[in-house]
Amino acid sequence: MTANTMTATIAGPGFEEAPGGRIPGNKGIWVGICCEFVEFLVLFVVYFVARAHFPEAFEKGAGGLSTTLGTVITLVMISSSFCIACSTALIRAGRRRASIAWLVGGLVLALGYPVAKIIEIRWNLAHGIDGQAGIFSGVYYYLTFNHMVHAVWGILGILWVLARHLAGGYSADDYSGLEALACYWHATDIIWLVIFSFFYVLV
Amino acid sequence: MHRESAAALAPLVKTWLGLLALTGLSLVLGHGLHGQAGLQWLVAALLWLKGWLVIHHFIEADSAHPLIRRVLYGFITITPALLLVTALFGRQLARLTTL
Repeated sequence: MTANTMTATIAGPGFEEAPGGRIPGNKGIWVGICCEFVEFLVLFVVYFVARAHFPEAFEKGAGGLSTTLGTVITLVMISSSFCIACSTALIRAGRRRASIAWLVGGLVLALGYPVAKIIEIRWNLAHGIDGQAGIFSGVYYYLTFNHMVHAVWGILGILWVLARHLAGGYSADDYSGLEALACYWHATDIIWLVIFSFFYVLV
Repeated sequence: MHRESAAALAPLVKTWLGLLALTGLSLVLGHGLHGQAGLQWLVAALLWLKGWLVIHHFIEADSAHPLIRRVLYGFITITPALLLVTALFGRQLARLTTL
């Protein structure tokens, strides 16, 4: 299927069309996603500058983090993103109940993020990794706390979209609100994949 | 499950399994190649691939407006590129950013 025919298939009355292609969700969410990307790009530049200045601190610091908890958060983010993508695909196919079920699955998995994060912070503090433990921990907390704030906004968004979905707010013809939430959650997932690689894989 | 719905979900399931496999692979490589110069290149490549999977299959960026496509692909290209720049030119970057 080419991009143009796909556009014609997916776009419906509830969607914003623009010359050259469709806008998944709505314009507003893409303004938010662009701001989110710019914010994290700035934070990643801070990470790289700090890493260039203190390479040993970053090698040693990454080894002190719990790879298990970092991996749990990654699995939770990837899987909740998958569930919400399925929810969007199913409402598009006209299967409202199945779409709601997948969205609930996405919410339950997404709630695992703050839970895993709290366990991780307690684990870190028990191992002496607090905000004043050095340049590595400072950058690590700044980036991961920022990401958690964005994830909490996403979770609140999932709750709102779920309430609207349960009230019959979305159909095969108009699911732009659900798709907007999905796009924001996928973008937040991509940012976590970057954070995971920088802090838990590069040990 | 309706045949149409199953067909719609099949690529998403494959993408999800691919993302899980790449996450596992990146962890294995991270521990196996600890401290080796090639690790940054592999991590950068895996990071780009994971980002591409999410953008291509979950967000369906290929049917989106070109500006949205550019923002998404730009983000997943710049971040691994910055990793390689730091790996290759870390000392120069540190010198440039010293007050």
